Amino acid sequence: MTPDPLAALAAADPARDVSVSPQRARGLVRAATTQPPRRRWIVPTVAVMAALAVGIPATAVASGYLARTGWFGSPNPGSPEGTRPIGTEADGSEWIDTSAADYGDYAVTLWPSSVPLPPGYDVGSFARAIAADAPEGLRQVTGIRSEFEQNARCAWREEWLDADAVGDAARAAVAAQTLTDGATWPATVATDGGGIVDGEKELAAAATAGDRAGVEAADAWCADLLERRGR
Amino acid sequence: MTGADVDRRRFEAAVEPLIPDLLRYFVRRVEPRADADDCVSETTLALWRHRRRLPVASEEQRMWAFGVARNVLANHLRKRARRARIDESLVREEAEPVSDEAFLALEALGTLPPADQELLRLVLWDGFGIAEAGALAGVRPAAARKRYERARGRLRDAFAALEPALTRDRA
Repeated sequence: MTPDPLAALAAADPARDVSVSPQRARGLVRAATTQPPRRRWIVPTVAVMAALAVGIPATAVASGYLARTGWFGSPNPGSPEGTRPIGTEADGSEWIDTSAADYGDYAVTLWPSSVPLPPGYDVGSFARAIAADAPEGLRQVTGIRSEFEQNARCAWREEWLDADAVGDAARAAVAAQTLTDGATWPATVATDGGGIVDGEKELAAAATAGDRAGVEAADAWCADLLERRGR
Repeated sequence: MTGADVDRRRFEAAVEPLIPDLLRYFVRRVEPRADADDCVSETTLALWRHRRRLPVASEEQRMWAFGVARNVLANHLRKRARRARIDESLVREEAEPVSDEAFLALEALGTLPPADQELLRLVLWDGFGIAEAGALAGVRPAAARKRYERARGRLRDAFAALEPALTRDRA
């Protein structure tokens, strides 16, 4: 008679002989609930540099962030109740709890160092404003950075439109070059489900060619996005 | 009794019954056995840290706990892979003897895509329903059923391909 593979597999369970006494289970759980709270330390050099750059409260640097979950990559840490993941796994980066009270402070530290903002913008305020609008849930660092990059491109698009309106060719050239670079910023590329990079390249090409109508047409929703996040 | 005590007791009442299943979950997926014990401790700590997300319903508590366990497992396997690259002398523990059919079934399981293997483990060993197993893997119930059917079919095919060798050995 041919054996049933499913029954054979069920019988092959490597944990078929594993048992745990109630006392041992209780001991394990007690060990967790009676441990002093874990402190998460951010790598000091990075934290201090970030604090100097964008003005993070010293207390946040010293004590770590509640927004950090310590969960990385796939599978996502969604739970049947409460916090839900926002988006799907992009990569192995950490899941961040955007509902945490200190999410804004932590988000500022995630601003990609390679992403500049036009003159007059403050990176800390800009990142905090974006973080304040984030839906509550769990989100991967790469997703957060991708959103930062998108907002930065919107700011540079506005910079180009302003420069073009006053005939400032030098300013417009800087904005066009940054938009060109911005089409391939790393988090944008990593999270592009199709068409994002191409769309941003079209915007950059229009800016480089001095095509005002083209710039206005591309990413036209940016104006709404930048509300309350301006200079 | 303080609010913290109530919090702790509720947590302990919910999590203690899950410990045996959590240990089995890790024994099925990590080696050596001592690592499975460490993973259970790590999971319990993670559950305690995130206790404000503890669901009310017991079935949801189980799903929540295994969701966290999956993350602990993923982190463990990642660390383990790094360790293995550094120390190639790591050896597999001798498994308990099983029947020829069971051995063959394990071999067949090993030939399936990782996602299929995990779905079969969750259903056949961890005792989850197909929809629950799908939820843990981030798959909708209908898709989970389809994947499970496909995984079963692949297991049968792989088993059948290996079985002649077993029959030959027995002859």
